[in-house]
Amino acid sequence: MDYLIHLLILVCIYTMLAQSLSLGAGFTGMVSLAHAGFWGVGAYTAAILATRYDAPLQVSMPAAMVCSGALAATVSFAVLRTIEDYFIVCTLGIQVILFSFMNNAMDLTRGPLGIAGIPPASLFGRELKDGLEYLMLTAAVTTLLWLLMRNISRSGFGRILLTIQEDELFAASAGRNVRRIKTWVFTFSAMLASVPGVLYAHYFSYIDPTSFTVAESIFILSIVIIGGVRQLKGIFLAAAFMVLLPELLRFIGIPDNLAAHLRQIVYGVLLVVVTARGLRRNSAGQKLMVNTPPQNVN
Amino acid sequence: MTQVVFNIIFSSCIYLLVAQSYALIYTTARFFHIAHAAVIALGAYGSLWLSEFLPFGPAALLAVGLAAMVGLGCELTVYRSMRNKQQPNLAFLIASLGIYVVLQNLVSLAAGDELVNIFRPDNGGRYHWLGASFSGLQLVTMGIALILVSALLLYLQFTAGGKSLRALSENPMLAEVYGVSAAGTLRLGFIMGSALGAAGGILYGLNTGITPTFGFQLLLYGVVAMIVGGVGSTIGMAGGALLLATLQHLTAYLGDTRWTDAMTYTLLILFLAWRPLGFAGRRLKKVSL
Repeated sequence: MDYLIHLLILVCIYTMLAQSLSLGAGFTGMVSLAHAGFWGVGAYTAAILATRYDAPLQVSMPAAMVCSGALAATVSFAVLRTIEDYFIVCTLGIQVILFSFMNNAMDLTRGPLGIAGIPPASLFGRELKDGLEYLMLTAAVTTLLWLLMRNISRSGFGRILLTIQEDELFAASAGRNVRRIKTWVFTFSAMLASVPGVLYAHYFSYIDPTSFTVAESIFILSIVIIGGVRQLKGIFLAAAFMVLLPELLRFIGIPDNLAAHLRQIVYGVLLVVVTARGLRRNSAGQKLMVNTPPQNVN
Repeated sequence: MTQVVFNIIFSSCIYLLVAQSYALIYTTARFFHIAHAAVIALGAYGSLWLSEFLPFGPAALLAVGLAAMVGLGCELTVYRSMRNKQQPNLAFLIASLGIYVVLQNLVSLAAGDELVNIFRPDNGGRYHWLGASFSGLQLVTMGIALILVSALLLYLQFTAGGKSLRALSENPMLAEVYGVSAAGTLRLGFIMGSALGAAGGILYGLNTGITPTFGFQLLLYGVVAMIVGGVGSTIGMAGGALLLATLQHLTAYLGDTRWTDAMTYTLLILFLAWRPLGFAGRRLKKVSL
């Protein structure tokens, strides 16, 4: 039972990560590979606040969001000057720098040793005791985030985001401040990514930089792609599948070290198959990603 | 100090080779072929495996050939059908990420995740010159890297295949109008780029040892050198490789080796954001708004 709760918490955490990424990647056309980095910023902020200052959740959660958001807003000056594949490479650079910071800033993050002994989360004076309470909290936050994402996607603002994805120039000519909206989305997406980071740090009570690598960013992106770039429910199902897959492999008797690689091979293959079949249109014939023919501006 | 200068020149030779191999694919296919990282790693691991049965020279050559086939395989199995469906650039990049993940994990399954040494015992002795110390192997490595880059340049300049590669990267539509087969030329680009990349992987691995993910790092160094220098200009790329190697070795020399990666990517981001054409490059990609 405990084990099942553990898996459900992981599903919730990855759902939040992937849905918050889809705000940038699916709606606005900003496919970022720095998401695991911002997730890590959230986790480290919570861990440091909790171990050094005994901060409760109602303090560490906003603090983590502010840290992550401030970082994202700062780097967005550079990152948002690029688009499409250059944007991905740029965010990949951000991801490596964030990882390098977690891995090397010994005074703050204790480097590869990681931060151990993170106390259980306490919310308004009440300490979360067991897995079930963590699951309830995580599920509640996931639901909130899901509703928020759904409302954004159905709002007029969501349509503006889609317009930017389809044609930035058109959005600008229709009087939208494209730069400001993109900065906002990039920042907000990073802020949302820090939320599961806080929950993750408290739940595992130990974090180290290896959880927040480039590979993890690719993993989160592949959940978004496999789930269907803007399909919130699809993303949830994909997250569940991805988290449960290693358990499935273990269930049929594949040893753990093999299963880790097999899982990655499975999602790699899925990623190729899904993109090769066509990101452009979903079953309803809606455009999922902008089609920019390769062009050479001389 | 001369030791640092030597190390800078040594690293930049390898970075230049990798950047050149990658640029060959990038300028013809026009998307970020991340799976190239796995091709680089496969070259190094292939030479390691094959050298158990063969002397190292033929084993390395065979490994380069195999890696070239893998690169070509990516094009034939995935990219070609995506191109026929007119997928956006972004989809190609994401698909190539998927291919990279698959290939890298296959290598991990076969070889384990530990650092493996393919360092040869007969590394050619050590030499001392002007206070710098280096091995014969390093000299040979630099020599081979430079020979391969020059050979590629000569090929691009003087042969029919090279000319069609250049034509396709300059102006695909006009190239096709004049009878250059785009599909065939792309295949040629993938074969040659992958072969050169695998050669770069072997040379790098001979000097430092390899892990299944080292290709990703080496590729990104090559990409940084390519973007900093400017896509499509070999002189620019050589300058980019030199700048990158200088930055890395100075960081290690004056500060701490732990921060070399952070410095590398800061350089990349600064160039991507404010000088996306590199300091020598021609215009290849737009930066909007």
